[in-house]
Parts: sequence; C-alpha cells; structure tokens
Amino acid sequence: MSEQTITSKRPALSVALRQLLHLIATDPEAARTRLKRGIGVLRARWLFRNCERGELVNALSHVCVDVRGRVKLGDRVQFWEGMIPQEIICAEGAELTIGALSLFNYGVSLRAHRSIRIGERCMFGSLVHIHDSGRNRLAPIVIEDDVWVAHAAVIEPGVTIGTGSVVGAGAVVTTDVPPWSLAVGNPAKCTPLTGAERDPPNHP
Amino acid sequence: MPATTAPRATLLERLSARWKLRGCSEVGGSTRVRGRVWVHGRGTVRLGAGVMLDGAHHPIELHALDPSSEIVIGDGVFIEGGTSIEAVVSVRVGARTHLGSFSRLMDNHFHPLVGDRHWRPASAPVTVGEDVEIGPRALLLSGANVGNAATIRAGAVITRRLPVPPGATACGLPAVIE
Repeated sequence: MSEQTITSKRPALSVALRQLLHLIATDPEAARTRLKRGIGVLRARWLFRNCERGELVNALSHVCVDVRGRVKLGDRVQFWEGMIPQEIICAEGAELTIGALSLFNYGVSLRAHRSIRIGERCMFGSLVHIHDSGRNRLAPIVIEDDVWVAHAAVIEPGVTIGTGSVVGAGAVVTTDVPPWSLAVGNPAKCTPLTGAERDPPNHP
Repeated sequence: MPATTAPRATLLERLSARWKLRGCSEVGGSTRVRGRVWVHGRGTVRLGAGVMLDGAHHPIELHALDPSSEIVIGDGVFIEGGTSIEAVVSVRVGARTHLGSFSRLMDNHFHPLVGDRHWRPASAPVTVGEDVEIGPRALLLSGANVGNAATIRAGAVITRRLPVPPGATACGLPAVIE
C-alpha cells in the first residue's frame, strides 16, 4: 500500500483492461488483489451513493448502510472483509464524517444520531462499537487523527479521543482520552504513550 | 468430554468436514464442522481428533499468516461460532478445551503502539492448556499462557503480563485471578 501514489488522473478503461490482462498473465496473485480492489471500489460507489465520497473509497465486502443524514467519507477509506459486515447508520439530521485513509475491520458498528467525527488515518479493529446515543444520552463523539481503536472496544457517547491515541482491545471508553495516550480497561483508564509525540504514526 | 466417547461422525459429516477443512495440513478423525469455517494463510493448521467446529451462526476463522506460523488444536476441542484464531508464530490449544463464541486468540498485536502503524511488532506464542474453558468474547493477546483446567470468564482480556496458573479463574479487564 505504501508504494501507491495518490494521483487524480486515472487511465482510460481500455488501458486499465490491457494492464489487468497483462497482470493476469504475469502475476495472477497481484491481479486477483487488484481485481478485488476494483470490485470493492465499485461496490462502495453503489453502497454509499447517498453520501459525499472522496476518491477510491473501498468496501471489500458488504456493508450495512442506512443513511438518512449527512455522511462524508474521505479519500481511500477502506472497509475490510470478514465474518460480520460493518454497519453504518446515520439518522435524520445527524452527521457522520470519516477522514481520508481510515481503515475499518469487520463488524465495526457506527451509529450516528447526532454527530460522529473521525479524523484521518484512523484504524478500527474488528467488532468496535461507536454509538453516539444511549437510552437517555445523546452526545457527539469526536475521534481525532491517527487513532487506533483495537478489537471489540466500545466508545460511549460524548467521548473525545485525542490525536495519536490507542484504545486497547475490549476497552470501554467512558471519558475523554487526551492526545498521545493509551486507554485500557473497563471503564478505560488513560496512561500517556511515551515517545509517541516525537515519533508520530507514519501512514501511507 | 474425552474424544474417545464422542459419537462417531456420519459419512456425510466426514465428507463435508474434509471439504471445509481442505486448507488444514492435518485433520484428526471424527472432526465435525457445522456452518462455515475459513482457513486462510500460508502457515500450517493442525486439528486433533474429535474436534467440533460450530460455525452455524457466525463463521470460524483460522488464520496462520506466514509459512512458518502454526495453529495446533488438540483432541476433542469445541470451538463456537465467531471465534478467530490468528497466528504469526504459534497458537496452541490443548485437548478438550472449550472456546466460547467470539473469543479471539492472537499472538501478535499487528500494529505497534508508537511509530509506524503499518509495521508488525514481534510475536509471542499463545498457549492454552487442556480442559480449559474460555468464555464468550474473551481475548487472549500475544504471550498469553493459560494453564490446564483454568477458566477464563466472558470478556476477559489475558495478556503476557498475567499467566493464568492451572485451575485458576481469570476475569475482567484488565484481567485478575479470582
């Protein structure tokens, strides 16, 4: 992924097809991944047809989408395949923004009834739940850039997660997480990540 | 339940299990599969005799990433749906262990806490003893070591910092021994 360069110019269909045929003949494995990626981009175009999309949004398998509000997806947002599809629900009048280059593993559930804002280059592990509404609560969730949320973590309404922070596997985040810190446990407790500010996450 | 007293699989069950587990390098006798099982990766996956894989509700994932990685599952292990086992070096599950639904065993964190997130950190093998009960949604992260006849309660997260001694019960996040 890191070798890719972001270009706005795309080759003509005939050129792309010829390139694909050449790749099938020389390197079938690479051709398979490229074809899968291409199908994923087309699938995302169909699934997110009611949303504002950036370039090359990719859904590698089905995503349950129910959009009545305003959804904005940045460039190269990826939804990975797995045992459970991701779920994106945006209620009427609600806002859901996802920054460029964010990755979503299988089973991620995003439910916006007011506002969920996700920054750039974030990573979400499998079965993460981000719901901004509860039975008696309705508060916006803000996740800043370069955040990594690990497997099966739950983010409660009204939480802000600072830049570069990491939410541990299975954690339940009930309070704000400062930038460059590690949140682990149920309820989550934050500890600073030493050296993180000097060495920021370097994404493609 | 010892594997020897488990009811024998019918011919149809054996044939379907053989087809669904064609990605495994070794499969013991009377192994049964319900629903979907995904065996990916280039590593070796070894299943013992009388293993039951119940993927009727949600699929079971057995993922040995590298050619050198291995997943070894002992005799008479019961695996419920949604369980995911990911190995970069090795994940070993002892005989007659029960893995609850959506439990996850992984020997690598796949992303470092600090620095380039697309660089894979070092692995530490995961070992689960015999007759262990692992509850639903429990997580065994890199370096987890669970002794024989231990119990991991639902939703517990076991890391390399807490080796679970034989016969003990671990629960909570961060996990403690009861």
